[in-house]
Amino acid sequence: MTPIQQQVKNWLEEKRVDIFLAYRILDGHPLPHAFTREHIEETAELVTGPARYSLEKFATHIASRYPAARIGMVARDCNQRALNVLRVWNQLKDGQVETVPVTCCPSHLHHHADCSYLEPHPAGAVKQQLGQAPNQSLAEVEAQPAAERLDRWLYEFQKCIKCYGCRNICPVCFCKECSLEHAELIGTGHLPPDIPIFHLVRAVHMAGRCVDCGLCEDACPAEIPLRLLYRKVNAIVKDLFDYETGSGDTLPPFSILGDKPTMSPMPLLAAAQE
Amino acid sequence: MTNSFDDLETAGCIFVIGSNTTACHPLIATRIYRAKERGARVIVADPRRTQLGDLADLSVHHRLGSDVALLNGMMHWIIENGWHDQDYIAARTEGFEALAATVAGYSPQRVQAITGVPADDIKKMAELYATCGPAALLYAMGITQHTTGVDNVKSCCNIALLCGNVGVAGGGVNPLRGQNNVQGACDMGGLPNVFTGYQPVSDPAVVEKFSKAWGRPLSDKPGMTITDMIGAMLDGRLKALYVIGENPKLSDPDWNHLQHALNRLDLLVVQELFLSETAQVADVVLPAASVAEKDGTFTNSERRCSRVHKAIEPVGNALADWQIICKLATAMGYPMDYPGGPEQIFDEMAALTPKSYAGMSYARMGLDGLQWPCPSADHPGTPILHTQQCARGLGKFHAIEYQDPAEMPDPDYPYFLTTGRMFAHFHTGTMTRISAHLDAEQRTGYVTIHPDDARRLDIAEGDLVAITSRRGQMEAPARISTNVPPGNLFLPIHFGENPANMLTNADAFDPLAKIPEFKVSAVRIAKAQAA
Amino acid sequence: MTLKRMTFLQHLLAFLGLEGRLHLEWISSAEAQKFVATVTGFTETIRRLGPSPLRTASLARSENVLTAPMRRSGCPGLSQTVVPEDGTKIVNG
Repeated sequence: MTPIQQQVKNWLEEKRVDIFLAYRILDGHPLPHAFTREHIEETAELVTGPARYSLEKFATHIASRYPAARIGMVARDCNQRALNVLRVWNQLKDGQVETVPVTCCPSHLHHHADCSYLEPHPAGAVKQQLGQAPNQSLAEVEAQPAAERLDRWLYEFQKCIKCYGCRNICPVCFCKECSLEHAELIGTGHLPPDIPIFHLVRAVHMAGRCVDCGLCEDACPAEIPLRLLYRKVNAIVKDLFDYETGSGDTLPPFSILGDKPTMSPMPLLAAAQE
Repeated sequence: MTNSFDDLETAGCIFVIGSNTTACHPLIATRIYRAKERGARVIVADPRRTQLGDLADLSVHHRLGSDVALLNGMMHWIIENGWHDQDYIAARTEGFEALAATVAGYSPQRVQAITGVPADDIKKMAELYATCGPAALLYAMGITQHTTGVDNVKSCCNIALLCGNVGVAGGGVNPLRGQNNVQGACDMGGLPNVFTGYQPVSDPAVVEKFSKAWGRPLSDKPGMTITDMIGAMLDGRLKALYVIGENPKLSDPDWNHLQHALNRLDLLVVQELFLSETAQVADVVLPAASVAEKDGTFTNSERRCSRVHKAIEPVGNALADWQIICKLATAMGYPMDYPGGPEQIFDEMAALTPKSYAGMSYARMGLDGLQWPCPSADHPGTPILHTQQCARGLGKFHAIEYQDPAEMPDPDYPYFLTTGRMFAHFHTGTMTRISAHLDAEQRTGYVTIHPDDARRLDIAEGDLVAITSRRGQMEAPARISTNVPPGNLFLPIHFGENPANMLTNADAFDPLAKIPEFKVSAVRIAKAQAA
Repeated sequence: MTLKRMTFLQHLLAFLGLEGRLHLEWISSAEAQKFVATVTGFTETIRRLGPSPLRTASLARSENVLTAPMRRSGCPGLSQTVVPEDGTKIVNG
């Protein structure tokens, strides 16, 4: 057994955690897997490595169904940031998730991505001509003339097939009702989805939440540079409000959630309810 | 597909005809996006405006059913400019002279008159396809669901052979199959005239082999196609129908005609996951296990056979299809039992299918599967077909003249109607319409109508439109859009309450493949009177 | 909150290439002059900017836009001419 396999086995046996989220090889592919005391022998098949998945999303689902569950998981830096966001947003309780840190893939590009697995391939010539290459810096995008910048984003958005993969994979998307499926905000029944509203609505919701894990961009079948867009929204939040997403204990600046409602009902609504 | 999904990314040109790829085969669209962004040219020919067409280098809208003329026109221009691959034609094909003689009659001007595509665009399409190779040709139901379906497919093969695109990486003739396992179903002999791996029932040696393996003398006569069965039901030759995983009440052409035929049956058995429209009128419904509840394999468009793993036990008294068939066969006096489950069935099939499946086994397949032909246990599978020679030896050109669809608009029925899928639903909606997310995307049927036509008929967005063909009448809310050309209507096929097949033609089908002409009917329309 | 959100959205729209089309101003019911000046000023700004590029960008049309003509070719920036003037064949890299 590897040290990490032994550690997970011990945690489960000692009842330090009830369930442990990591990866297991199936037919040569590492797939997310929940390890339990009931199937303790499976810990011998636990692997870490280049595989990445939003395990913390599973943790959120488990926690909402079994509030008392103690959950363990392997965590890279991005998983840690997501767990922190989920805790700040009251989706996970303090101490409910215990992590075994795993190193991110070595990369000389740490300023850009902590994991070489997701390092975007250089964009093809036509994408560079028409679209937004994913491996640009924000400054490079902002250096484009505004009209050209818009055309490039619209080209990218026009490829969208409305699969919701970006939302479904996102570790910090947890709303019960999603604005993207609100028929009065986003039209239904056609492709591509309303441009650019569909992508802007999602971008707005990523402000102060996105942990820059890049799973959305990795999942996108249209290869829209979503990570680039969401990096911008977090940069705006940082510039305007000095809010650093993914660290710290405070809710982002747009949040009106908290222990108590901070707004009273509008007069008309209050009157109607009386 | 002669080629593979991955392989599309290496194409120099991708020509998509009769496929709304982003809506119906979205992960193929991913490959097209990638190829395009790397520098491949993309040509889209479709009577409707599509998302992929908007992203293409060249997008043309040819008149419904005019595919043969369009392809002949392209070939005309290719030959006229000497862009055809003469070495390839000499070495690997036959029948070029006949083809050249036929397409000589399809000048861009004449094709413009037939298809409505400007002659200059036909020339550009031809040049892109012929000079930016290797060129991959992709098609879907827009090519096949015609009285000239076989002619359309042959024309696609003609142009691919003409430019030396068959058997090369980044090229090929690539039909996009409509379901995850329709390729597998056909490979398994789910056709009236063949056993597994397309071994013909007319071959005595094949019949003898299967008769010996299965311990009963087997018929050497081809069975009936679905199209034939409906006629046989009507004239009493067919008394019982056993439907597995299909919803013909919604998916077959000419709803009234089919109702009439179904009513004549003594027995209708439906094996289904849910109580589909067809299951609702069945005498017996056999509950089948869903994809999550069974083990086995699927074979997809790129001929890749891969494993499907059971995730949960079947709910209720549902059984895997093979178990139901075994029980039924046993009850009917042919004991059928596979203690080894799907793997034992697979091994039996592979042993009887020497050319394509013989080298496959569950142990070899892994998660990534294998692409047939895979004739031996050490064969790596075949990502690209016909690299050395075609299945019949030389690739054969078919000289094909254009024919109009069976039904063209006339003063009584002045509009073209075409049918198809929309992105949120799958086929007759038995699976997708019960998903809250997909239902929210599109709750009802609709008919797409051009703004000019809508204005003339005083139809506003959402108004109920009555659509009438020679077969019947139905109503659907209007969706006004320039995605259809003036004089054309589009109806999605997913919605039982707005059944598109009330209007389609069961008498119009390809003489060879027997595929009905779902894609072209003549109709008239009017704003429905408020009840 | 409104101020925070509007400021944020202005920055986001600018990043997309749509600058100056969103404006926020606090005006009391007693400030008629200010209201007039603001509305007039912003109307002028928008007029100067011209029609929304989303409306004219051919890409951005959703399926239901009645006025969109059937287009042959899609993307801005893509050369419409596929055959170079000098008749040379297109070579793909």
